[in-house]
Amino acid sequence: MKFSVNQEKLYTCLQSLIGVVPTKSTFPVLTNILIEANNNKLKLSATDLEIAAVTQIDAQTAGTGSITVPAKQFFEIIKQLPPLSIDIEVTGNKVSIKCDRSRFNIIGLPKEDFPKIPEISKDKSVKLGSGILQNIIKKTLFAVSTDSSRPDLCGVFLQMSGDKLKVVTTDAHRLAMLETMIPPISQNSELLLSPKGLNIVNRMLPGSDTEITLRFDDSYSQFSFEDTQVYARHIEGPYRDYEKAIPKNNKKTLTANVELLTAAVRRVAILSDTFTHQIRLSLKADSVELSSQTVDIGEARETIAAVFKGEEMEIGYNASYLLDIIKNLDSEELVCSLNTSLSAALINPAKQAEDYSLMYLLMPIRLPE
Amino acid sequence: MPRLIAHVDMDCFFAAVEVLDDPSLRGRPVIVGADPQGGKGRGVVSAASYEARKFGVHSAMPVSRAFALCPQGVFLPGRMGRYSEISGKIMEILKGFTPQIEQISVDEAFLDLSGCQRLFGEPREIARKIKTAIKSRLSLTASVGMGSNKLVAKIASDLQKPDGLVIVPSGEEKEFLALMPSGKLWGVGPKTADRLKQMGLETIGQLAEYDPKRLETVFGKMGTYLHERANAIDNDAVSQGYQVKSMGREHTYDEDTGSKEDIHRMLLTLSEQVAASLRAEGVKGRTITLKLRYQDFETHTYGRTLETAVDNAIEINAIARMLFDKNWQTFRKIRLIGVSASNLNQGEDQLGLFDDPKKKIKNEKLDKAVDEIRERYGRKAVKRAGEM
Repeated sequence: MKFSVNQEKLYTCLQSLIGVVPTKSTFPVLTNILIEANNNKLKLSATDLEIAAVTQIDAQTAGTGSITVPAKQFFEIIKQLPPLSIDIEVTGNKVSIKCDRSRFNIIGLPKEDFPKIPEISKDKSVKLGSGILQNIIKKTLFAVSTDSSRPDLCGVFLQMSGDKLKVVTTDAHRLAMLETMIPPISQNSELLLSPKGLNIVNRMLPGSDTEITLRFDDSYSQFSFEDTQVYARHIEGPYRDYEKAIPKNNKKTLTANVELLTAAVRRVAILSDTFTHQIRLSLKADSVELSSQTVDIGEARETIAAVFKGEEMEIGYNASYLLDIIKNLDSEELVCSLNTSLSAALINPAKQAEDYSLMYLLMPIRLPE
Repeated sequence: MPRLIAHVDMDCFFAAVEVLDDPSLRGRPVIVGADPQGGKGRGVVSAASYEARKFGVHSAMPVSRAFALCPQGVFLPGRMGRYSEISGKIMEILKGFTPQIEQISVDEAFLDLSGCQRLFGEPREIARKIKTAIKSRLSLTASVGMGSNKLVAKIASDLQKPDGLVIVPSGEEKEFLALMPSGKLWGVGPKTADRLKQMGLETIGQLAEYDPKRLETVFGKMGTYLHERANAIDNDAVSQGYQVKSMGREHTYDEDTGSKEDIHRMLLTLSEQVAASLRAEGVKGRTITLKLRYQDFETHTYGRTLETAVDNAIEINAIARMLFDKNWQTFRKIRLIGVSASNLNQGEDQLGLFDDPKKKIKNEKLDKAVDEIRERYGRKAVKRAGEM
């Protein structure tokens, strides 16, 4: 098998695939990338058994064939080569790479050792624009848990019913929910995906607006667009009954300017405890006073104008959690509804975007009595 | 200007607190630690009173050996909550002398008293005032060592125990250390001590005269450190903000066990104890670690870091049990099991979306009530059904 390929094209393609390859694995072949040449196309695949990505690029091929190559070294070689045509020849397990005056020989492993890329058995699918998918990733993934003792919370929950898609993430301290319209789906479905899979999709999306097809069965989801497919094995559910956590009796409301609040939280957070990031909010009819203190270091205080309807109250939050939420609102103002200083706040942008709506929940930190 | 550093070390602290709370124990050999079970116990001694030490009993000794040496001893299980309460009072007293305090364990601390002479008098007088303050307010005795650095102060406090007072005048540090065995230096464990002995460096003085380059080739960085310390050079500051790094409890089985039920029960007991000491210190732990020692002494530790710090037995137990179930090689019997919490921080109280806040507050009240009952009537006064 022999082929020639443009360095820039191959490098861009490897850049996104390398994210899938595990850095170490009990199965050495997983640290390799599978290359298949056929009819002036190169198909490249990578997998860590949870996620798989397959993408195709144009090349000049002579004959058909396949080989797997050590991903890290192959990627480094291609990265360092000049932006010219690269000639690659495979004889048995020997892979020789030539470009300009550089020569490399690396040892590959046969395709037979490489795990099979999953096939989606039943065909349920939904189409999404790349723009909305990017928003889903940006505005919800930060709230996914990393605590492996709660495996369901380590996933991104997709709930499709009728013409609605709801995406929910939570680490039990905060919760993000994004709702959007989809072409009506015949069968209501729920998927629990790893954030890694979605991040890989995000990396591989083209710059321009593209249509993405999400196909799924009970075990896998497949995102396909242009010449790329990303497969993600589902995380075992069930997902937590998150609706139970959404408060129904939050009668007090705070309306505040997002930019002002963000800047104030950033400043006050400087002197919050480095571990808890705890800041205190005193909510008054026409203002919010933010304050923080760290023993032996100092204290900070700032007041911003805001409208608060309800009995005055004090509440503590983790400043980083609060910032994660408010910087994703994309609205001039936010509306935050509250009940007590021990219960969840519901935070929405005052004006929702056209093609999706956002809702966040944030649990407070209990303030010392 | 040389510094003036004091090392204050309570005498047989745990045993002394037991005697304080139960005067009938005065003058008797009190041994705090594992249950000796008539000589069959397999844990270790955590503290022994001077009366017990006369029989050769000392801390870290297997309790079975302690029992053999001193069968008439009063063996007590220990009450960490009480010890740390008294410890807090001692530290309060010491803070009256200088704010520059470094607490290094429950019963000892360094004080940087540089520049305090004008306030409290000459070094000997300050040391006496410290001892008197502790004695008059708590009826406990402390030994105090003083010198121009921590190393010298620490060694000095140990010299005339109990109720000791040793001051090493500035300029005489090297002489003071020279005849002491090298093992007295901080950081010299039994292995390093053996190696030093093989090299003919039995005293600190011999070590001080030895070629520092050769020490470095044998011990690496530690060699340089040893040479400096042996020459009484120690610029370590008395650092405030003492932080306990972790809190743990272990249990050595009387007979190696392969019973999952037994181990689960013990994990709950240990989790209870760890949770209680976290609460007594007012801290929570974010990392829970399980320690397993098999019959053949092969020891493993497994940890898990949580998103929220905990101080509750149920939560600690859940993690410890999960780590155990996941990692225990079931065909091997277990000799020792331990649970510890680390990554400690004060008073984090992030609430959870899926917690029941009423239940959480109720649990905290329950924990507090149980802590109080145990404080007064001992650990066995209240037990979880799961421990029975």
